[in-house]
Amino acid sequence: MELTLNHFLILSAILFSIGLVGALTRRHIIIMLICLEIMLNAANLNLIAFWHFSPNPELMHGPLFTLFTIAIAATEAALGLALVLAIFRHYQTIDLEQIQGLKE
Amino acid sequence: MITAITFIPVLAALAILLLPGAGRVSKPIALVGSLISSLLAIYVVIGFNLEEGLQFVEKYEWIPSIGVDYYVGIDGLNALLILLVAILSPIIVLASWKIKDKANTYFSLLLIQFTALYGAFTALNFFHWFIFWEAALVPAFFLIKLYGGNGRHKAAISFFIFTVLGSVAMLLGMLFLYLKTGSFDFIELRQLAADGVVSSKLGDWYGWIFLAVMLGLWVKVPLFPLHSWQAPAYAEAPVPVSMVLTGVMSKMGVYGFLRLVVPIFPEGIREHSDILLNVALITIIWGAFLALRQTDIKKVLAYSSLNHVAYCMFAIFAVGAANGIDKINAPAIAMQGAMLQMFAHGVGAAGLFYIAGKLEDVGGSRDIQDFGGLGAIMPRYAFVFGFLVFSSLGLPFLAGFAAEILIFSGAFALTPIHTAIALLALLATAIFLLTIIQRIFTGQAHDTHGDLKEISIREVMVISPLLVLTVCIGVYPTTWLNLSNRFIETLSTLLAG
Amino acid sequence: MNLFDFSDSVGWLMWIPICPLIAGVVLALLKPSGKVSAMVAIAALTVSLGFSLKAFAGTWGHEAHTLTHNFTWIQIAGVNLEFGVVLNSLTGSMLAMVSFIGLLIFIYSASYMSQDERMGRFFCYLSIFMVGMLGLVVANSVLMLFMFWEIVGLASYLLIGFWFHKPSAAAAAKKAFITTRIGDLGFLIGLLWAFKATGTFLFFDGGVGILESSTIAALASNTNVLWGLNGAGVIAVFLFIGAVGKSGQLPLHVWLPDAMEGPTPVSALIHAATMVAAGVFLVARAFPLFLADTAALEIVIWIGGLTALFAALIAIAQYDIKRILAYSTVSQLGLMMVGLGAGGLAIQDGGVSIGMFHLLTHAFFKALLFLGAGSIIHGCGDEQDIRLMGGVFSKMKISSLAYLAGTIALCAFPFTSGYFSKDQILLSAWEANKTVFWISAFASLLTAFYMTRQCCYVFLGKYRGEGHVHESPPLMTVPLVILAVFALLLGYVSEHFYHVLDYLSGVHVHQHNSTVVIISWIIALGGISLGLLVYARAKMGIDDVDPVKRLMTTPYGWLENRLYADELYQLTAFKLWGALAKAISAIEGLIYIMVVVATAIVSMIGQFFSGTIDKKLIDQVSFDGTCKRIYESSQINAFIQNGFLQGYLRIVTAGAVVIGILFLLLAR
Repeated sequence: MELTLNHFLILSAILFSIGLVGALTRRHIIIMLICLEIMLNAANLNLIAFWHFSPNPELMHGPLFTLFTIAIAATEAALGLALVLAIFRHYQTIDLEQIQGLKE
Repeated sequence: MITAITFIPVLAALAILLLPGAGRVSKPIALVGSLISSLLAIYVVIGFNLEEGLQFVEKYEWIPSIGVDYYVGIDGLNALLILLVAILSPIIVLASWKIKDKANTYFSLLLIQFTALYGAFTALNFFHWFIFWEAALVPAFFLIKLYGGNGRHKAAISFFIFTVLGSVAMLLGMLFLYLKTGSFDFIELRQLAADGVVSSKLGDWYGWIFLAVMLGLWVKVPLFPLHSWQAPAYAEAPVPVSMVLTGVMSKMGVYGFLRLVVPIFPEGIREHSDILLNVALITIIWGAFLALRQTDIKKVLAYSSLNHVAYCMFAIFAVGAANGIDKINAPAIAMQGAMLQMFAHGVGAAGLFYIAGKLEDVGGSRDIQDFGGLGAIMPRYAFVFGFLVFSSLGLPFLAGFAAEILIFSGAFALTPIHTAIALLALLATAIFLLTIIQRIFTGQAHDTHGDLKEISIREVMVISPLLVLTVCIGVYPTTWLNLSNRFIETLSTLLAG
Repeated sequence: MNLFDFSDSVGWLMWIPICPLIAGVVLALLKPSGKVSAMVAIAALTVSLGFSLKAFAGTWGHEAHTLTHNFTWIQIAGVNLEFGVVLNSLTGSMLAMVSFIGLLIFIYSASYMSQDERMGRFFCYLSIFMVGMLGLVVANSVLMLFMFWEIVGLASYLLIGFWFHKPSAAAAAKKAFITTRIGDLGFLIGLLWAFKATGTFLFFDGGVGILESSTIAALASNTNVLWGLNGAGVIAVFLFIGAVGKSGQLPLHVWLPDAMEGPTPVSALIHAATMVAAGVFLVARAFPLFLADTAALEIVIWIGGLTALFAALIAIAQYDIKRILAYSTVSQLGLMMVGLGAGGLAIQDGGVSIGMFHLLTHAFFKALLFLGAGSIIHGCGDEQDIRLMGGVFSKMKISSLAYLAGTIALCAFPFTSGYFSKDQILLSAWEANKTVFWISAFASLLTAFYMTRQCCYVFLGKYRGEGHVHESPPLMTVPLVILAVFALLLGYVSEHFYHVLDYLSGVHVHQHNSTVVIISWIIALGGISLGLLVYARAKMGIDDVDPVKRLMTTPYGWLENRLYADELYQLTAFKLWGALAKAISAIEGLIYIMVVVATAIVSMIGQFFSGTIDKKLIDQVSFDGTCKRIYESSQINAFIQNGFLQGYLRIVTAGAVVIGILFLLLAR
């Protein structure tokens, strides 16, 4: 069986869905960050796959994009964790159900 | 400069209302505010060049799309009236010194009123003229309603309804005029009227627009039969407000006539001069005879004021009845008489209201029948009172006479019979004013007057500028007349045709 | 105005009124003690007298000369309203008389009022009066004359009401001011008319003044301007109305007797010698206008004659010593008017001197009589009723002799001053109008009669009052003696005076008619002897009936009640005036009710708008409704924006899904 573009796309869709569902349902804020990371990587996978099966892969667009995204994801994760720490300090919890400061 | 004069009082008012802690010093702030404005205004009027027309002009575009400019200036017509406001406003503030309740509101309303008066007298564009005109009305309404006597609510409401209805009529008329001519500018409108553009553009509407514009002024002066708001308003208002009303506000109506109606609608006045003359004559007689039967001293003075201001209108309408200029230039004399009468009456009537108000202060009543024999108890008060009364009834060498003799000299040459009838009012004036003096000051003092106090030196000081001015106007009126001489000569020629 | 040029111009004449003005202002502002006040006022008036005598001397021998100095008061559009001073023989002699008598009366007052705590105020008022009186004499402008005329009226008002704690004095003051003001309205119309017709207020102005011949001719050429009078006559008649008010002529005489409420020096100065003569002076000043129309002169003599008779009749039946003199003054003023009018009719230009000379002689003897009366009143313990006097002669010799001198002058006893002046009036009246002559002659007879009656009451018999009669201090008697000398001897310079007063022509036409002279002898002597006959031996106590009353009870009763003039006015003019005021008040009331109704209607309409349209439609439906919707919708928003992070995320996802589905569908 040869790996075609569709396989990659399906894998990426599955990964994205898992991430999305996790982000929507899990109460734990760190789990939610991890889920966001999964969704991002699903997108990265797409980018690499499209590059790989493109008519002229020698141009190296896909890896470039992906590298950027990974870098951004890293900073995002760092920021996110810093925020989580700040939130924890403030609320003494990281349960999203309890953190509703905006509503008040 | 004029802008500064106009808005300094309102800044003072804002200071009283907004600055923390200013409430406790509202009186000094009001005094300083009005005094700065007054001194500037007097400085400006002294600097007024008698040989030239419009001066101290400030003109900025405001709403160019509808021809609205901020346009102020001083010419022969308003110089004397600005001087009048300048002289009276600090005195009025001083006269209010004893106000205790809600003094902050009181003084800020008073200051807003001064701004409106300065503004209305200096504006040369209908748009902001009208704003100031109305703005003068609102503080007066509240001052009567909040600080007046027993009948204040009724008085304030009828005052408001009358003047607002008049103003609305005037506003509609002027808007119509704007739609037809495309100008709000008094100077420009005057030129348009002189070129015949106004009458040709208005066509059949001329009479209606003339009437509408007149109506607002008619109420403000007031003339018969739209005068009924006046006496209750003057009588119920607190004394300083009565001083504003009679001293300055009643002059706004006459000023409006000279600023709006005479230059823009001279044909209208000429055409209806007989009706208008009769109306003015009736008002003169009316005021005088109504005052005869009053015992409330402020009402007497209110009716007397009705009578005196109507002399101004009588002079203007008599000029409307003229056929050209004769060798004694009676139109100019009559109209100058009207100008001087505005000033003289403003000074004299304000003084009279102030001094009559003292009666209520010390004796607790406004009814002259409750008093008697005060001449022996309060000689200083009697002197000041008598002085102002004799000025009011036209004693020579005091202000009232100089103005009235000019009005009569001019008007008699133009309409002898009307003038001769108007002279009857002089007699009635003498009768009711002397009756007041007789009642209050002569005879034996009532037993209840034992604890009455003579007015203080401070109160005499407050009133003394007015007394000095009364003599100055009466002995040598030329000083004041020179301010308006050039302007009135042109205006009366225009009206006399 | 050039006040300091004493050689060429006559601007310095203004100093004559200005001096007492300075005194008046000083007294009003500084309020010095009574004695100091009197000294200040007397000093100022002395200076005025000096200037007046200078003016008088300047006119002596220059009768037809008229010097003027004019200045502009108001300038409007190239037209000048001018003031000015004029010096001619009329001014000169009047100035000399007014300031001289004024000064004597000031000196007298210093003693008379010395017990009054408001003496300073009194001299202040007197000074103001002198300002007005002297000002109106020097005025060369009818307007300026009118202004000083009113000042005189003010001073009269203040002085009559000087003892204002008496209600009668206050009422009399008001009555005087208002009655004269009625006349002043006529004066005002006259001067306005003159201004309208001639374009100037000046009497003399180098050929174009109101009184100059070219102007008069132009005015008179307008015939039948009003009531059949010509252009000059109309002005003259209106000015005469002013004179009627001021000089207490019929029908405006009612104020003058009441004016006796004032202190006696005031009565002497103002209501006998000077102010009431101002009306006569006005007619004399404006005499050319009167001359231009005989109808105007006729009016003058008829009013004058009737007044003379009317007042003389009333004087017979009065008991108040000052009131008798007051009516006598009214009567004599009437005679002066007759003199002016008849003189004008009989000898044209020269007529002015006839009335004016009587004015001058009358001023002296009437001032004397009033001051004498004051002295007697003072001596009798402030009693004014002649029935309570009697036998005064022996107690107050100087005052009484002076008083008698004044009396015989007033009665026109031969060779006193009154004889010369009255004689001329009767002569002119004989020429001008026989009816008026007989009226005047009868009035003169009555004058002699009532003065004799008064003297009998006061001087003869025993003292009927209470207390002790005493002579007045020298400060009061010296002016009396001086005045008495003048009253007796002024006639001997009459020829000079006639000459001096003929300022219009400069030539005096001497009149002589033996019949008239005999009649005037008969009048004077007859009146006095008749009086003596009736009263010399009569009982004159307060309970006794007057001998004349016994003779004719009913007519005498009318006279006692002053011929009901006041009552007549009460019933007619006052009622009418009151009715007018009442009617106007009633109409005003109606208007006010209409206004109230209109206000009510307007506020009802307002209620409708605010209640129905505003509240229901705009407030509830539009405004409140919208607000409610917005509030409710905010509930939904609040539900969405709950701050629950995953909630937002869900919505974002849902939105993305929806967009995705739409994208798929639309991409098809």
